Amino acid sequence: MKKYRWMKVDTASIMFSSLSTKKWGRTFRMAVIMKDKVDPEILKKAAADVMPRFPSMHTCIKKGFFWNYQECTELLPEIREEFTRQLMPITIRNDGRPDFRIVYYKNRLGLEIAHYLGDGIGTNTYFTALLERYVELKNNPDAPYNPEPLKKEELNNAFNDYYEEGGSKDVEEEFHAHQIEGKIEPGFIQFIFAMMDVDELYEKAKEKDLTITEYLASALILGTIRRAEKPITEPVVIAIPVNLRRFFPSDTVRNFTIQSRIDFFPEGRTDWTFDQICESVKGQLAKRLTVPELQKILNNFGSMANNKVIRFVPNFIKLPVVRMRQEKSHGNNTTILTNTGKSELTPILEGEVLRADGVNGDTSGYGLISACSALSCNGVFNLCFSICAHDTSWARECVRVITQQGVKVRIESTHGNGVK
Amino acid sequence: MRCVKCNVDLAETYTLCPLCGEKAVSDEPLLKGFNVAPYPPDSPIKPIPEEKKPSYGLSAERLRAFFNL
Repeated sequence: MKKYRWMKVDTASIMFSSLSTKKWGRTFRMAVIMKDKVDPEILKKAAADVMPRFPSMHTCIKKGFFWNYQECTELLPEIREEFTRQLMPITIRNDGRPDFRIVYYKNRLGLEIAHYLGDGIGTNTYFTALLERYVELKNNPDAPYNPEPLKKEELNNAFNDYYEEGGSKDVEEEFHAHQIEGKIEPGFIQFIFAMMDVDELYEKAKEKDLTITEYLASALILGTIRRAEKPITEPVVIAIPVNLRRFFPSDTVRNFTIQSRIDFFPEGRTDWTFDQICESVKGQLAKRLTVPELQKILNNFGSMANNKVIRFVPNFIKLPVVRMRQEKSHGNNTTILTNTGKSELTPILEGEVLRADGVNGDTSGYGLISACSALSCNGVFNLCFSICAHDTSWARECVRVITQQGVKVRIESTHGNGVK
Repeated sequence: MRCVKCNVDLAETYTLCPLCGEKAVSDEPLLKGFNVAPYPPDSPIKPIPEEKKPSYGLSAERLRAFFNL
């Protein structure tokens, strides 16, 4: 019988795992287009080789008496050819496999992962290692595998590393954001990719004195106002996940992100111009993303996760409360814009990886009909709209705002011509 | 291919714009050199068969995990 191994969930995973059920789980996908068709046998061997190097990835979530925990597994993840254009959420399973899957179709290779295993930055470390090993084995089936040794810090709950007990905390603002109209269609998701030249997009953002994230958030805000059936009186709030490693150095490959936001108050007016919105958006992130402000948010999370009274409340009482809090905090958003930034290819992957995509999975568990994700790779900026409905009018209005600024855009959809 | 209504380039095989449903026109794309992502024919989501769960038995470590100690 194998020795039982487990690890505590990180602070963000408490929240992500609380929402997971047998039908839904917060999932995201990273995918690359390779130069050649993917060989599944080599892929399996590569996955087996990198497995011991990433112990926190090879886990599945389990419900404990007080908290959820991650059970370590030596089973390989699900590796299979894609049979659907949709992203199937990673749900609570009972088969002991890790809570992620590796999918391939022709020359596209993807990693679909439950958010409680790690954030985009952390899991990208695993994905890069997997791709590198795959390419090595493709070029030489007997290539030895000599990864960098595992550092203990990679498995840290970085939220706890920086938590200041008794430190000042952030006060969560209570408001209700505008929700994009439309009916969530259970079990359905489509992805629309808007691809741009990253240099051109950067120049356009610079003209407005904005970062690319602020520029795109402005486009999403104006798109939302134009798409709305009635004038919007509530704020339009774009949730922006922030990589805390930029502010609090950490080698963790687990979750270490929090959600900031960019908001705009249309006040019932429909005649806003892009320039006016850009002016309002300018500086919002810079103001919120300072070490003292982020420390307050970390303390807020830490005080909840480390509270001795909460700790001894049974999970079956605690989880619904955490779930309600999560649903409420996401109801405070109109959509999510995850920008993971520039995806640098390592030397071994140059020429092998032609394109990279990052997609937010089904956000219907939060009550959000749409979410966006973005990254740049090989000079292409790839903005992906994930839509849990057939109606694409919101994405259309947002893209039209971008093209009206003179940015050239190429559209691709997982559903080809689209679904009508 | 292009959609003149949305003013966007489309993948070469598209006959309709996925954003607005307008018929694609075979104009020269403004952006060139893109790699198209292949996708399988669409089929509804179906459950994946579960594999056999590994047996760990009851151990002190398992109890520690359950109680998060």
